[in-house]
Amino acid sequence: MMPQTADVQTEVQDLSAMKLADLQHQDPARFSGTLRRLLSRVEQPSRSISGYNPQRLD
Amino acid sequence: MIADTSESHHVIAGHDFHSLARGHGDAESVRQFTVTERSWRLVGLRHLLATLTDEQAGPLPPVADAWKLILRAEEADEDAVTDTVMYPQVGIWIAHLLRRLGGVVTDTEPLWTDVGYLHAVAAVAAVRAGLAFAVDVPVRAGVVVLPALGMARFPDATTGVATVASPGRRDDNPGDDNPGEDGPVTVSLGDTVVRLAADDPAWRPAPRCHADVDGARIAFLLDDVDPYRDLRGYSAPAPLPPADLARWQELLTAAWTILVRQDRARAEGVAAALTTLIPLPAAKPYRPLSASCDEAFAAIVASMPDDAEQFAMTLVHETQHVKLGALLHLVTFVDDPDGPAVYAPWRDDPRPLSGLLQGVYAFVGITDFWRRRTDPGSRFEAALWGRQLRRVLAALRTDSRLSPFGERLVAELYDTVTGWPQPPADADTTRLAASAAADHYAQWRALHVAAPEDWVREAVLAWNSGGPRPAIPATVIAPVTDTSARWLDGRAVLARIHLTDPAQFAALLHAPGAVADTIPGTLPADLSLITGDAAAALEGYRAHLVTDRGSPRAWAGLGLALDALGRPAADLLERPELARALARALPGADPLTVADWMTGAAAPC
Repeated sequence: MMPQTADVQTEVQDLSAMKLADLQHQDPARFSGTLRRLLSRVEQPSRSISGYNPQRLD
Repeated sequence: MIADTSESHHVIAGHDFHSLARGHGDAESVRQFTVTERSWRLVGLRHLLATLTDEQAGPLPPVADAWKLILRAEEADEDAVTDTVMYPQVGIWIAHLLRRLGGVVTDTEPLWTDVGYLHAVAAVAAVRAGLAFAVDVPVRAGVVVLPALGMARFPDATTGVATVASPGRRDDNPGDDNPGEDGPVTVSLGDTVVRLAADDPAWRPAPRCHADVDGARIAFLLDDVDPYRDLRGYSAPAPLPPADLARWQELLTAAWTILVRQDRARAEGVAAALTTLIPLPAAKPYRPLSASCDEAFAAIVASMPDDAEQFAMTLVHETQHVKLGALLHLVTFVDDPDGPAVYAPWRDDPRPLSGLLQGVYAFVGITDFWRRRTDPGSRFEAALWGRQLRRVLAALRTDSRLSPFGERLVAELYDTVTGWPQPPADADTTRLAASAAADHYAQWRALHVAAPEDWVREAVLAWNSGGPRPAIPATVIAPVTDTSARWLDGRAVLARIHLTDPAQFAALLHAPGAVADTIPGTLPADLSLITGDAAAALEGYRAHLVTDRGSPRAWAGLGLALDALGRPAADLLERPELARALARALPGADPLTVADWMTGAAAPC
């Protein structure tokens, strides 16, 4: 079991200080880990939606 | 609190992760997700922009021009642009367009109509930043939607290109929450000019709801027009009539009062996790529809609630999903996402493991809501969902597909659920909750789990030779979704009516043959089962199965009736697929005799 009080290092790059104006000038490799996670979810749309019987929305 | 102590990755403080993993998370923890979600959104946006070509904008200005307008707005007012880009439906749009470009989904509408949402986003950013600008945007279904601002109507047009323009009003009122309300921002199509002004009947500003109770505030936008509000792809606007808007506001005031006075910390977490509610028409009574999507942080979809209590529960439910959705962007809970689907007690269909985790997380919040309430209906819900949570969490604790973070999440949620005191409930409520839990599982198995063919062959031979039933086979067959599965909660809805609305239940008893018309997913015999007349229920299910031998609803009902009569039923309720398959293979056999043989209570006839 993981320790309960340890800080958790996430898998998402911290872009909180980045302006949109700088976004396109970045090396894409900087975002590769986060992008891989994002695209894996995009490719499986049914796994992104949660809720109370949302299949009945159809 | 989520602190940015790493140079390159977000870090979640240990105590915050602990709180979130236990199914809680205060407002401050939730607000920090706006920071992490911005990083997530920016990566998606950058990838989309790198994928799009200028030509894909069709008759609109090149993609690069729309992006330049966003950057101009950022230079003038960075917060305004952050608010615009972080609007939840922008996340849905990014995901949808990436899916469309990647061939994951198809769409018959011209690509530029989807691409042009970027131009609408740019227009909103420019309006909010008070820029002087003009940008062409798509017209779809006779309207131009400016995300989170409102909708301009062009009744004579279906599709086309309109122009959003403003001479700029940077110095007028830069902090105004309703830009355009008193300014000269216009949307033009040919000779028709719509002003973003309250006195222009062709402009419909986005409606908002809010409530204040004991110093706690909740406020959100009621988005009934955004093209990407259904969480999957485009949908045409469906602006609510004023009476519905008033009803949402009325229900919110009452629901917020319940939440704040019942559990203020959770209420404040709800308010922090919600900026947008996408309204749906009322669903069937006792069966609200609601949904959320991790790409649309802080947005939920919800049907018009039956009452304030249901709305309060839905707000808790969906904001649990919002929190876990943001958390699963940050860490991995499931190492093997492609394994077999599993049982989820709140769904008609089998769910992937990650989906089950979402459901568990939501129902920990829901059950925590119900267990604090004392009316019979709430005690039923607390007893039912507490039982169901213990069932699935016990199974999850041994699921080898979980990552270390997933194991920790399950362990923390298990501790939360098992740490709750046993909710007080009378014998009838306890009986109905236990029955509803067993019922759902039995129907689900009967529908989605196949009986092993070799076992069925062996059982038929044993039946025909007058021998004992073969041993129950191990559970090795992965569920396969039966897409006909609907309304597995029918008898649970009857139980709710029985406990909370005696007059309606009496009316149902008066016309048992019509019960399924009022409550889909029910049989006439269910009324006897709910009222405790198990003998009559047993005969009813038996008669039903004579003509509909594969009915999962009737097989589960038969098991429940036998159990209520004190007769062996465990093999029917835990493995109903076996009796169902056997009865189909023995078309002349009496269903009750098959059931008794299955449970070891009788020899074959």
